[in-house]
Amino acid sequence: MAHHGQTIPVENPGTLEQNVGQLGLFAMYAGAIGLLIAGLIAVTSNNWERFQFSYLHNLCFALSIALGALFFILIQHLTRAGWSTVVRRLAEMMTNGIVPLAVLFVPIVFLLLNGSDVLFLWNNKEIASTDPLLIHKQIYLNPMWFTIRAIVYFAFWILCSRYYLMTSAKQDKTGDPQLSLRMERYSAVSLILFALSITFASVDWIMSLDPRWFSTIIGVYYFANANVAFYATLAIVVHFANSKGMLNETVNAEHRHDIGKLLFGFNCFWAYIAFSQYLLYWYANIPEETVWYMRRQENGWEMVSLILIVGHFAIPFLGLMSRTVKRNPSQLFCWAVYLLVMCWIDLYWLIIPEVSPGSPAPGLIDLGCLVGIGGFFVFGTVKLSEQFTVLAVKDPRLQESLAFHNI
Amino acid sequence: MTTAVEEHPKVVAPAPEPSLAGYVAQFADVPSLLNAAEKTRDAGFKSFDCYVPFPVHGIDEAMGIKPSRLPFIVLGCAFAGATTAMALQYLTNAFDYQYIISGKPMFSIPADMPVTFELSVLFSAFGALLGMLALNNLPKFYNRIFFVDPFQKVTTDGFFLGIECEDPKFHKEDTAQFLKALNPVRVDECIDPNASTAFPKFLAPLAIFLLIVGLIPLVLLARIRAMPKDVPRVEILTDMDFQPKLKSQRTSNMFADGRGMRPIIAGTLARGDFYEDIPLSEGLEADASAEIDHSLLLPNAKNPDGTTVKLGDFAWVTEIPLDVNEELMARGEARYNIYCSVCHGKTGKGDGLVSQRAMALQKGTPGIGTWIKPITLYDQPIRDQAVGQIFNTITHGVRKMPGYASQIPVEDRWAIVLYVRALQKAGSATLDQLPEEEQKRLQADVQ
Amino acid sequence: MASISIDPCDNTLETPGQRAALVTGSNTYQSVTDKVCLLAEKPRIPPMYFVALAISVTWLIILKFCIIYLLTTGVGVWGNMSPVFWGWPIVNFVFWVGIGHAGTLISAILFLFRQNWRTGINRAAEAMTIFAVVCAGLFPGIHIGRVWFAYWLFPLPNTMLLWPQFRSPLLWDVFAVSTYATVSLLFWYMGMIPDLATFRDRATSRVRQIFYGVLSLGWTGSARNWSRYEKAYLLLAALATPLVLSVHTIVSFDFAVSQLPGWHTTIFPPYFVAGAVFSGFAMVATLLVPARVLCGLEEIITIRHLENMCKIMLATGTIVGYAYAMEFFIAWYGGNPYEQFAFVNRAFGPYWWAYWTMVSCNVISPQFFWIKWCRTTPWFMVIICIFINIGMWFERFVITVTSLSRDFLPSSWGYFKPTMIDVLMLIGSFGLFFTLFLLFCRFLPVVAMAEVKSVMPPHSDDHPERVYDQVH
Repeated sequence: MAHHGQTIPVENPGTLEQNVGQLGLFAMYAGAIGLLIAGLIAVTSNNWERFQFSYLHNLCFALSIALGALFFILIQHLTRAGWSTVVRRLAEMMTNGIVPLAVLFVPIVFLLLNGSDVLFLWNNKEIASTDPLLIHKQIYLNPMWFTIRAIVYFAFWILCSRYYLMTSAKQDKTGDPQLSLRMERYSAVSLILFALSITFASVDWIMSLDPRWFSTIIGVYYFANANVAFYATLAIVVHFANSKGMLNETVNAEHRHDIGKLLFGFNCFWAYIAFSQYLLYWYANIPEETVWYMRRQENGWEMVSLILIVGHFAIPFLGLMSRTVKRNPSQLFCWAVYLLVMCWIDLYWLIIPEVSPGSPAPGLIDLGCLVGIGGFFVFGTVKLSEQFTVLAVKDPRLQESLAFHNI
Repeated sequence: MTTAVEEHPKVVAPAPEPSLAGYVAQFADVPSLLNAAEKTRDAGFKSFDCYVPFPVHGIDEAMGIKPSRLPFIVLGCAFAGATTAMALQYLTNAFDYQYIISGKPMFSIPADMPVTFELSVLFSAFGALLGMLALNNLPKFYNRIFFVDPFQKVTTDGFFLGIECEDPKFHKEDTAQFLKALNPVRVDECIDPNASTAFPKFLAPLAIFLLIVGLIPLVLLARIRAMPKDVPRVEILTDMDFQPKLKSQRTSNMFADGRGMRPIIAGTLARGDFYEDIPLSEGLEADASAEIDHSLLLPNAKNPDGTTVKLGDFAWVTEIPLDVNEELMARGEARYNIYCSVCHGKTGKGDGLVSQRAMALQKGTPGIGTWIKPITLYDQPIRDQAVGQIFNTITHGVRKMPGYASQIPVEDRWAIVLYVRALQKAGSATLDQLPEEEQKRLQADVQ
Repeated sequence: MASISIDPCDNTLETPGQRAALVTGSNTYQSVTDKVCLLAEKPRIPPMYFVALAISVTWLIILKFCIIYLLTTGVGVWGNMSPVFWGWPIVNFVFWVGIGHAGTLISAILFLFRQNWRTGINRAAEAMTIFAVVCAGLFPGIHIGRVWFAYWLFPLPNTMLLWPQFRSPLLWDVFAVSTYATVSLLFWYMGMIPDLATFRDRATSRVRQIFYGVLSLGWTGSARNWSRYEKAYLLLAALATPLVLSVHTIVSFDFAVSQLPGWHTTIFPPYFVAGAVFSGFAMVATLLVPARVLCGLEEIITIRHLENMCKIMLATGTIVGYAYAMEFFIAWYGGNPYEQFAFVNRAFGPYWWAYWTMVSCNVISPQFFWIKWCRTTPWFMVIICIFINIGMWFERFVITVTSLSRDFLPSSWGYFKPTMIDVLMLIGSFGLFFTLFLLFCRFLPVVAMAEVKSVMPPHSDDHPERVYDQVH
């Protein structure tokens, strides 16, 4: 809808560097210390297996935030969305985090190419060539092809996110509306490639941890989780930005309301996907499928499963339902933090039972890896985004976003 | 002055006294209406309303409308729906009518989710629509504002603001002046014709009459279906009562032999009916079985020369070809009591309930029945029979007794034979064969 | 940017920062109302309307005779056989339920996503939804053979002391479809109340006044009423959004909770929903392209509306293609030979023709919508949409029949052939659908006038002349 009324003046809020200062450096130190501590504990307790799984888990978690952000950018362009312009730059910056994660992924590939089967059982030549369920998968699940795929995923994500960030930054200077149209035009194809890459990435990095198990919905599951993680992160970032006096004039209750709605909506979507998968496997009761769920229903893991049902769905469903909660900065922030923790637990539940079926208790290794990967993720994001303005100041739809009102 | 009275003479029933109900001002566009709404609110009016063809953004604030309670009603309905669904599924499937289905627990929460979800949504949707209507006092077919002439434009492009006379601040002249000052297109009086809103009196009896007339065909239909009749009923819905299928013991011209039931094809055997052990499955010694024509073993069989077959002459097995133990005896007792005792009686005296009843029926009218009292099992001729022959009798039947091969498996037939032997022993026992304690007890009873 | 557009009605060009007009031409609130009411109030109906109605009613009568024949003779008149016990009736059921998803999607989900263009098409789409659900309900209804016992599907106390089996997906279906039909009806009706009031206020005859007067419940357009009305609309939209997902999800459970290869796969729920939206939009477009001409609504249901629908079809068609690909990939990856056989059999077995019809109609034909000309040329769009509908029917046929015809025991394998009654009933259900839709066009507001007015800019012609001499 066209808005009649005078233009709302926008002040240039400045670059990220001007706004966050030394956050990146601090995050890097935290990251280094975190990984170091986790590594030390792994060495002293001779628990490298757990370290590797925990490393992968936190990498997938950080990645889910960045991929959620990439999807957000693409879908906003595709649908010519107006409301989101004030926060889109923040999402564009978050996608920069894919670069450090690609670097952090190198050790996983390195170990795999050197024949390690700690993470991926299918890399054990003996098992892969004798287990009847794995023999035929060798042409897909082999280290070389896995590596190539990982390179393709990361290359696409980085290229795509850089393209959108750079084009948008270009528009900051020129204000050329043609750039918006061009980004819109590429967004459809990018979304298709995005769907394929996130699907096969989740098959490779999450589903193939148990190489005998399969589910057609795994890609959608990880996608749903990524969206929840992203909107939660966006709400947190917006809250921090506002509390630091950044974007105070531009992001208001209306935008928070929409972020809250999308967070709520995608959380319901996650529940829908998770329930669909569970119900079908529970009902059909075929051993080769239920074995994966059995591992998550015994030895204490059943508690984690219950936490997900109640904590990831039921409680936030009721909590985030109200309009008031979504519009209130601190309440939305609390729920966002809470849901981000739940997303972390969700991935923990997906990945860790493969290494620790006997106990769900997290340890210092998990904490170290979380701080480590998270630190480097934040560091990379901030470092690569420093020179960009925190708002797409000359986006043609910025005025609409500023004047936006919910019904 | 424009009033509805002149415009719609048909609409207005003869009413006592039309009275002024308020003023309705029409505005040119949304901004002027919003402006007017704000001023009216600030002037302290409460009983006023704006009338617009579509929802206008910002009018709630301009008029000072408070947020609706509707979400809470809907939330309540959602909980009611979820509770109803869970209770329904628990009471029907886990409590009242338990039935195992694909190995799932009676109360399966994952399987209950779809219906719970659907009912929550259903209840909430009704809550949203009916709650909205109730809070809006709808349906309300009679509304005095409809009598204002330009008001029908409200559903096309008219923007109106009305102040009602019930408002404490309403004043006949001042309010009109107030509205005119708001820059409207026009201001009209709203005259309430005070027409009667009651339903016409003849409607209620008419409705009852129509209801009764409407029920007559249904009652007649029910009568036809439910009353006893000598002739076959009129079948409105046949309910698959007549099906083109063959029933047992009926003729059919579909097959050359005219029989509906099909005989067993020669040389075939039902699954599980094949025994290599001839003495076990036939009660005959293997050599004898190979020699004789098995049709001679059937009841009332005749030799080729026309004489009756003497079953006793065959080479019957004389020992039960199974392990004889208490378990087999218990099994035999149970099977005997199920299958045999109805005619032969629990002790083998031939005084089963079926036999007693048949005899009683025959007693009054001799010649009408052909029932023969079953033979007493511990009579000497039966006691002399080899176990194989008794087995054969159970298998194929004898005289009026049908064969039980199709009902009682081979092993159970032998168990019955064993139990029959026990009955024979009991039935022909003498006092000195009893244990000493029993002898003493019986003698005490006699004295 | 250069604009080469000559057609004043072309609102398909996008200028970032400006929103294209959703009502083209020099329309006012009054003229929008006049146009929408035209067919319902017209003294002379266009002859095309009667031609269309005559054809539809003919097929409806054929459907009626088929049903009478079925009920008096038995379900054996269908081609259902062992092992394909679910033949065309189930295919038709799933097909029609799928069609019925677009309406609520447009009115609920697009409402929540603030897609204002939905206002031009939502009413017709919702009506179409309800009529499609009617057609869908018909097939399982008569499939039970003794339709007079249809109430046994519901948990009602009975003399046999039996209760329905709540662990059965077929019972979930009963609840899902009947809830969906009810809520869609409520949503549709609630949306229509203000427009029925417009009909009431424009009525020239007493009969029309009473008829629309009763239906519109005494709506006055009061702002206090609108406030609660909008809240109720928002709540219903929020309720209908998960509901619309749940319905086809539960239909997919009918298949997916089983252990049959080709049916038991976890992507079925979202994949069925995407397919349903896909086919529903195709049907909405098929209906609206001729209807907008017939009712003279080209300026309200504009090319931009049609183009947006094409984009949604492209998106959902691609999601469906993604699901087809994932099914194949996981069938291979999972390593279950039965599953692998089921998929190879789909593509290269005796039903290869159905499979490749499905793929070419559902995955390939929407790809034309990448081209703007295809999205903005109504007659071409209709052709593609008809292909999509054919493809989506075949999708259900492929899923149902290929999996069932290859039982676990090769001795029970069979080849399903429909009978003439099957074919006539499918075509007859279209007769029912079009008849209902044509009656709707004639008697009810085909466009949500109030909603369209709320998204169109105010026009200078809307300001009536000021009259000050009315009040003493």
